[in-house]
Amino acid sequence: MSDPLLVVEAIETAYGQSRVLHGLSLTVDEGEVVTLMGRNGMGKTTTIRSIMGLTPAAGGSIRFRGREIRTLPAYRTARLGLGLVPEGRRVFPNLTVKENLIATAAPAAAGMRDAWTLERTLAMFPRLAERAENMGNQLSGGEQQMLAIARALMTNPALLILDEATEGLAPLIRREIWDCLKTLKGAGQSILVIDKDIRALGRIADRHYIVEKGRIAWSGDARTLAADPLLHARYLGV
Amino acid sequence: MLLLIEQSLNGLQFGLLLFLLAAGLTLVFGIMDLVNLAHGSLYMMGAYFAATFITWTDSFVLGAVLALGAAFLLGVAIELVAVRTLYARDHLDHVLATFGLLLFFNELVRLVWGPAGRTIQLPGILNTSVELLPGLSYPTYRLVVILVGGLVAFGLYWLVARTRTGMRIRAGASDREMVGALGIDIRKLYTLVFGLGAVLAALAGIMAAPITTVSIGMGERILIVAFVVIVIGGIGSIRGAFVAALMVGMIDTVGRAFLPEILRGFMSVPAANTLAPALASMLVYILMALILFLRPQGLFPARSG
Repeated sequence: MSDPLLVVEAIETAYGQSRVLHGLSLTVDEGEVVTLMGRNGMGKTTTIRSIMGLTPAAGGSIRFRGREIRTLPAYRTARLGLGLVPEGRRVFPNLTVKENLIATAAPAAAGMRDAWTLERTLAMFPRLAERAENMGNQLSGGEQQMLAIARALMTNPALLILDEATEGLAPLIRREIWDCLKTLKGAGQSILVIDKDIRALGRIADRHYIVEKGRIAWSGDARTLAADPLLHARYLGV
Repeated sequence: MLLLIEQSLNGLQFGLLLFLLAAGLTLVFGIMDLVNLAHGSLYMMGAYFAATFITWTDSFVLGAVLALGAAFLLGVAIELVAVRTLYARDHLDHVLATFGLLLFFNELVRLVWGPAGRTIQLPGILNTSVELLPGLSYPTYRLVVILVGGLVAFGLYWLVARTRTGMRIRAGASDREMVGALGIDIRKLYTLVFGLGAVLAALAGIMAAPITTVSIGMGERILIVAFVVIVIGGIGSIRGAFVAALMVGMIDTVGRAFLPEILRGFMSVPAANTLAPALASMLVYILMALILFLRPQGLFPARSG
């Protein structure tokens, strides 16, 4: 077994004086789908922001393919192969769908199979192909989420990170997004995903982490999570 | 009628110069959210560089090209040394710091080139007139200015609208952090944009130099009008800057030429002669007030698309 793709070790992150993460650790292996669950305000998004270098962690270690990335600026982290689908989608409203996709696209790293090109991305999201010339702010929420995922894929990431994969979307669109993630998983894409839909996550994820007050409170595989209703009541508020 | 055509051409030419200056200003303001009062200094430095390089090389075109290169390097240096530290600060700090830069460059010019202004002599081939219509001859150089300004405006539109760099610039205007999170070195992009703005400002200064004179403070006078242009056009919008620059150039030039006559139509000649110049110089500000009243975001708000 080779080293994990991503190793987060005891990171500490604060916004100004208020500390959010208290020694949080997690790993993602190559080809694995891993989730971060937990109630609002527990530090899920901050964990993602720390990994990406958007809100750098003050302590601990973050290694991607064995390389320390904790203090790298976000653009260098992204270039190493982390593709972010941020909370709130954040598509560029003043760019067309097509421009959103190609503005920050990056070629695949050497040795990567099936690089994401504009054609392949639009084939995966036919709805975006239909709206290629529309501006980002003319899309529905579901279309924006597809665009945010497609935009991240166009950077040909080794690890796709989704912060709130389906939040605020209609059930039909949610199903589409989950199907899409399943397809990606089938193609060997490593994914770290945050969402509140525990059942959907349970279907596609290999392992789960539950975040509570800036630490990992529980981790395990999907079966263990499903078998333990107490976990849901205690950490997930359902 | 001939006078109207001639004044319209002058308005177009002034508008295009304004656009070159406003384009950099609006990009820097719209994308980096930086108020740059020193933008006029780059206009002035471009003209002084050109005055020197044209003397050295004895060629107008070669001197101008060298001056543009120097202006780019100067812009990049200003960004790396001073401006870069300002992005995280608020607008008051921007104004104070870039006003400091403005004073610095005025003094620098006084030290290096002396307090007296310079003139740039046009080469013989440009120092002629073209008969556009019977009875209407127009200076060749001003036509060249219109042509160059138009071409650069088109090139800039192409850069911003059609290239990936342009897409990133626009994306950066709406969500800078996200552009970085997708792997783009936004700091490098900013330096490039600032350098590009410097080149455009310098080009405007160089092209204006043979028509006016090269002097200390030449940048401040036109900078105010350039700010009016970007406010009318919508901050951050190249298209807005283009439309607004042509509007302002036209209204200012044609207004100065024809307002006295119009006013004489319904008031006494002395009253019209007194009022006209004052009103003419107010026209662009009246236009700005009007547009701000009707469309507070300007004609083409960049952030919403």
